[in-house]
Amino acid sequence: MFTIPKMWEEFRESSDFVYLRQSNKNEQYLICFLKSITDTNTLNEQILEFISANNGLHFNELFEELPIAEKELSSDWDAIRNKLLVGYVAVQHAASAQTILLNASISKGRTVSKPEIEFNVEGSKEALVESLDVNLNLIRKRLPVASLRIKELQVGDLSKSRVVICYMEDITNEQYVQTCLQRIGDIQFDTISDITIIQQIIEDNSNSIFPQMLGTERTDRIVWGLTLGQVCILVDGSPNAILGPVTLEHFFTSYEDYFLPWIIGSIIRMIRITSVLFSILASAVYVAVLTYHGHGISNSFLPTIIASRINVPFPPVVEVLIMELAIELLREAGARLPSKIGQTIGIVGGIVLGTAAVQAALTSNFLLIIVALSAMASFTTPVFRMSNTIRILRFPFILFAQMWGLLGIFLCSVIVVTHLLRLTSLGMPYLVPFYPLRLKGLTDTVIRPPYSKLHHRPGFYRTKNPVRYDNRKSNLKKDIDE
Amino acid sequence: MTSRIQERNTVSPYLTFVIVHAMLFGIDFLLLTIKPVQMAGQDAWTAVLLCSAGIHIVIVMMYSFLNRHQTDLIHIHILLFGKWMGWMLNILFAGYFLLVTVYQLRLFIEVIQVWVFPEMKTWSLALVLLLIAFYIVSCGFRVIVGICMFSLLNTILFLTIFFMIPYFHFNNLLPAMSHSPHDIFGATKELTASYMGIEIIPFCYPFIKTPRKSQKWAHWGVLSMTFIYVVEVIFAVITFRPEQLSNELWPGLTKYKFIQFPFVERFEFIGSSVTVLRLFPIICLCIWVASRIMKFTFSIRQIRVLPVLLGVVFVATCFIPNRIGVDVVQSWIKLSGISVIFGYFPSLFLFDILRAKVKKTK
Repeated sequence: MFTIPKMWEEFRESSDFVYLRQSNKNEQYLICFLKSITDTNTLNEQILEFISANNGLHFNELFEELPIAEKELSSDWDAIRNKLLVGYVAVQHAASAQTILLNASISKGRTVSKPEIEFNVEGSKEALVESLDVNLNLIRKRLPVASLRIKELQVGDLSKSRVVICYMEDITNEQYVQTCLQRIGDIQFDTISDITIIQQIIEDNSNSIFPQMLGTERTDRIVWGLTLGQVCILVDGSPNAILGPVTLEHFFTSYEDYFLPWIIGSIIRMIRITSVLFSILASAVYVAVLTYHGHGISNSFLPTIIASRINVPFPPVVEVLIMELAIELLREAGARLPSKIGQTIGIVGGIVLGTAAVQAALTSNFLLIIVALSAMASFTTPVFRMSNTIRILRFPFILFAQMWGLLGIFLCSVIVVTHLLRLTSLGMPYLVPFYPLRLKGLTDTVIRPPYSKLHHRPGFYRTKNPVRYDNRKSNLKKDIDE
Repeated sequence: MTSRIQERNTVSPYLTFVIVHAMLFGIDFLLLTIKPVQMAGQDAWTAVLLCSAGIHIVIVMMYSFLNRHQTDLIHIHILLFGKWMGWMLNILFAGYFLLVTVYQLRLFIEVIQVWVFPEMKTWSLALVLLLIAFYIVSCGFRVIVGICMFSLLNTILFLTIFFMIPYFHFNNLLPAMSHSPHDIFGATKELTASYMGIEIIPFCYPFIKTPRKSQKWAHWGVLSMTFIYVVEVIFAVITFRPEQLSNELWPGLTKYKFIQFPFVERFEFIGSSVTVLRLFPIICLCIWVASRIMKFTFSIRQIRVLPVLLGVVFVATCFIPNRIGVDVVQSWIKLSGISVIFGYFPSLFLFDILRAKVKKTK
């Protein structure tokens, strides 16, 4: 009787390990697999049926003729174990020292669905899912060229996560790819369950609140980034990808800008940037002006503020901190609760608390408007991690404003600018094309130019091929009435 | 002896423009107009042009010896004057730059004390400013130049000068050319203090990619500042009467009083707070140079010597009690600045040429 080898005992402790003996007349086979990750249809209909139909075949001939694409022959126990753990079926024969390994893995997960975080009105409604193979399929489908390279690595001692680096061979600067490969190869953490963990580990400066890689779930944005010369990193089990290198300005561009007519797209982009500045500075300026620079307000404006603040017992900074914390509470509660309860909380918090706070003279109407507006403004950032940064960034500004008024706000902005100046993303300066100034790179920043002006890739990516298309062919200079 | 600067630490040549612009557009700019206008009246703008011409010649001289040796002034000193003499000169320069830092810092704190917070203690603001300066300088030259670039935003505020247009009296400019050359040269001498800052170029030289190309940008920087100075002087002349101007301490900030928006009554709060953007490039570059000199003189790490220098600056700043003290320091700075720019650099230039000739004949 043919028994299970000693070394396989460790698998028998798990209840999803299946081993069965199949005997065809005098030929005995031992078939083992982990049923939780193996497709029983493939097993039954292709493997088992083939084996029973072809009895009497020699073991090596059997291997040659099995109708499975991914198969191999091995006698190394480590290799067999690793394959079994990803859904292979092992077939052994009493007469042979070798084992046939056949891929019958199955992965179950969500189907491709709409983007949840980076929602948009126009454009595709396709977002990444948890399965890496599906994600790669989505990207490949949009870029059917051979130069799209996909490099796979395995990271994490426990999770054995598959990490994939995608880039365009003939566009992307080799240096960025090498940096990514090296940093991901150096990762020591044992479980990589999400791309954000990789992002935090491989970022240039992990002590910064500014994200230095752009997380996205939109396949069209990934493809746009790849064609510009960025590197995309995906990990199995995460519905997000990260793109790098990026600049600060990328975090304030939504991919939808490219779907709108360029004038509208540019105006919306400018509104977004202004609203971010407003969101950071508004409550700090309120504190500075009401604490120190009251006589800087013009006479026509002063009565409005006095009337609204006359019953409020707190100094401006306490008032602002209370309101900012209330908004943060609402936001946090709304994000953690199921969506239906979240809405209710939003209404209760937003309307009831807001009105009650003003009537109870805990805060002024004026401040309520500012805080609510700046909270809304911080949501206009298309990238979620950046909107987190902005909501945190406003607190140091408020504190500095309390200490030194407007001067404090300028001091704090000098600190923030210094920090931004020293940041890099995969070695590329974070504030490029503004510093170092790259005039040609400025075309697609504050303004989203028309496609006739997007004939070159931005120079700061240092791509192998800076030309997107030959604009001399398309630009026909026309005179009047020609 | 020459140290190689790694390429990732260098900046593009055009940023010389930014450095020169930021160094010249300092806090001095706010009190630029008083003395020249007192001396040369409506003809002060000719003094600006004269001074600018002199500065251009000095820049040409500076680049001549820099291009010959392809290194910074620290190493040139040791190369030309030997070890001990070179060390002495380097230390003198470090002291000079520290003095400039102290002066600018104290001047800024005075602006804040006069215009925004009368109760503000000198030491508290100095401490915060120097801590921020430490953060900036410790990030390296590229970041310092980035801050210079950021401070260019300040130039936008210069446009607020046009709010004064309704108050112009163009008759003040007449009679033109009525002052003696003596007066105009006196005014030129006063203006040199405003052009101080170009002495930073010989120290930044090796940090510029293809440094030979940067000369053009240094000239452009001086030219643009000349334009701004001329406009400032002429506007001061046609807005204020001479007697009025002599009573002003800060004509550059007084002009913000002309500005009115529907919701901002007193723009000078914003104007004087924004002045902090002029301060940081200057003090950061000066401390950076001073610490770099210390690094080569005593062969210690720059990051170690930086807190010491900042501590010295802090103590020195706190010891200047009031306007009178600032005035004293100002007169030292003027004297040393003029002698460095118009005395030391030309003589170094001549010495270098002679030395090269002698070497050739040998």
